[in-house]
Amino acid sequence: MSVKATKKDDSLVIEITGTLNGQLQSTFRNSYKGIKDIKEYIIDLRLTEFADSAGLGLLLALYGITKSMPNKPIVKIINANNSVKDLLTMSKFQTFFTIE
Amino acid sequence: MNNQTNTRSQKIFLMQLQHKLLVPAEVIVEYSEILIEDCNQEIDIDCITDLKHIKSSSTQLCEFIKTILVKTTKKTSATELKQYGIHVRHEIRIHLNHIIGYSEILLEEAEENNQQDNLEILGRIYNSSQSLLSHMDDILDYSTVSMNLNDDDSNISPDNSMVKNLVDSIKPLNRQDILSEFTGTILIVDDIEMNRDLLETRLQKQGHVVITAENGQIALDIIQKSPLDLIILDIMMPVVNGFQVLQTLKSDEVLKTIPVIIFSALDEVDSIVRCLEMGAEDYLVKPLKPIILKARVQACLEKKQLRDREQMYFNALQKTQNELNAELAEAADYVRSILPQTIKTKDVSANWSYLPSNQLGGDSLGYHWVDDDNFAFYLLDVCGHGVGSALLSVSIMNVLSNNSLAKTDFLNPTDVMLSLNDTFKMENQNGKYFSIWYGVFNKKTRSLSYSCCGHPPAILASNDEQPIELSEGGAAIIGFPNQHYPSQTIQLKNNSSILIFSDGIYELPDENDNMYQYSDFFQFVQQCHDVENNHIEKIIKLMQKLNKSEIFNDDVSLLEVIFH
Repeated sequence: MSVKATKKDDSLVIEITGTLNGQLQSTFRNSYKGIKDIKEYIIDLRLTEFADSAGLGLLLALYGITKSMPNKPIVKIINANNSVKDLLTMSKFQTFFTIE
Repeated sequence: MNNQTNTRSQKIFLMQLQHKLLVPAEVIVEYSEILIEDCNQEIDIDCITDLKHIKSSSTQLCEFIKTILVKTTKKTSATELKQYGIHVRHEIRIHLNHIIGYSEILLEEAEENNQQDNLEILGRIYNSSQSLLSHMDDILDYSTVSMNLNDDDSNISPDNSMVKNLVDSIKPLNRQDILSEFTGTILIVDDIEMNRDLLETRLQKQGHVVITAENGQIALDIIQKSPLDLIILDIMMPVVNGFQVLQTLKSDEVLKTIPVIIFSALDEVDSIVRCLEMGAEDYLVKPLKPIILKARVQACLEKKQLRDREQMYFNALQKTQNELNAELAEAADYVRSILPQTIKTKDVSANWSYLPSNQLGGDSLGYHWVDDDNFAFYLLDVCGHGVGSALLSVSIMNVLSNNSLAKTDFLNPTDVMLSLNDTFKMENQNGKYFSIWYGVFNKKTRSLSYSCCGHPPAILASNDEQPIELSEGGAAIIGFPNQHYPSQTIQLKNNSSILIFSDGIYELPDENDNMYQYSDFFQFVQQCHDVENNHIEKIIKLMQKLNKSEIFNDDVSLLEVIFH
């Protein structure tokens, strides 16, 4: 399990490898903490094999932070596999995120 | 630098020198043997004869080199050393000249006959002997044997520097250096009384408590009764021999942790290897210098103490883990105890199953009559595991079962969800949120209003129709403002049933290590559908079979309500 964040212009791409679960809490939070002037957070789940509800909670926490930011950045989830996409859809997370 | 250090320096220097000479000489022996084998296959008599000369000379060279260390240390004066150095150079040269001469002949022949493989190996023999010859004067400069290692570091050659490093890092051994830091109870097993007495006296002087046994049988009796830190075991004994004692000891789960040093006059390799394979810590051959025995005993006792400490920490950890598990089990029992009783009335029946995971998850469920006509039922799943999730889950269930959400219409699922969203904000709940399926059945109108929020859709089944998913609703309850939680109202036929469940029941790896999905579970539920009998039990048994365990990774809860 690992988290890698790369800033590209005003986007921050956060790649999650392995399982997205509650154990990644601090690693995931540290990946975006203190990085300013972001208009778009892109959560790349290309290498994410599985996600559980606690893992999705980490994405929600990021969503909560963006809601309080003055520039209202968007959070986009990309490249999720079918299993993760089903979980996101069932949890109706399209309410909070752009899922591609 | 004192005399002792100087003598050690000389000894280490000579060992290093002997090693430098011996390696190329042994290489020549090995290569000549390889070539002799090859030539034997091709029956090349001339070649074999020359190679045998090389092998003979290099073997003699090896034997001679091995004597240098012993003989040099016996020379005390500078003159003696110098003369011996000349002798050594002379001897080595004789052998080397033979080797070089024969290898030159063989090289020429190999070149003429274009024997590429032989050429390569002969080249290595020739080069090794030439290299040894050219460096011999340097390595055999006996003036360096009495070198002064106090010299300024900048003047010390790399070789002498290595010797100095060794002398500095490995301090000379004094008797008091091996302190009996670790003492313990030691059992000595030896059939010869003199041996036992001698060892006993030595070990007692070092502060150990010593018990003795004159044969293996007596030893085994003592081992069973007395706590021991170390056993020093002879091999050749009457009644029960040392091998048998070791075997018995190492096949016992408790006793196998006692370290055993074999102390025997038997020095054959088979015995040593067998004993070490069987689990002996060490194998010492009699007679042994007391100081070495003392060092080995100390090493064994130190290891034993570390192992004992490790075991103590492990036991403490195990105890804490057991206590924690007991508390988690108690918490799970508590959650189970506040879940409602199963009911069977003329209007509705409700049956459920709650299987908390080892870590205790955040599932809970409930149902109650809101008024005379309306029956509310719900199942929720707080994200994550552990007591934190369980506590939040119980809090939510309490406000639902007691209708204690302020200004909330409990007959309206949308209103209930909005109220829950206002009350349980993720930011105030340590980042925890939850999914929920909430429904209200009116027995007079037979209508069902429900909202499925971030939760697996419930499954509605009736005898004459295909089951359907009840998925209308919003996202999970996270406490952010301006959320929408739509609900839906449908009519229920007689004897229809609704199954609500948490995702723990189907999030299991399949045979390809992929996770089962909701759609798979939907099929499984259809396979198990049986309103008359215990439907839930059949589903759980099927999923436990797929899970290959009765314990699921996550909490598993299922609630089935039948509308008669």
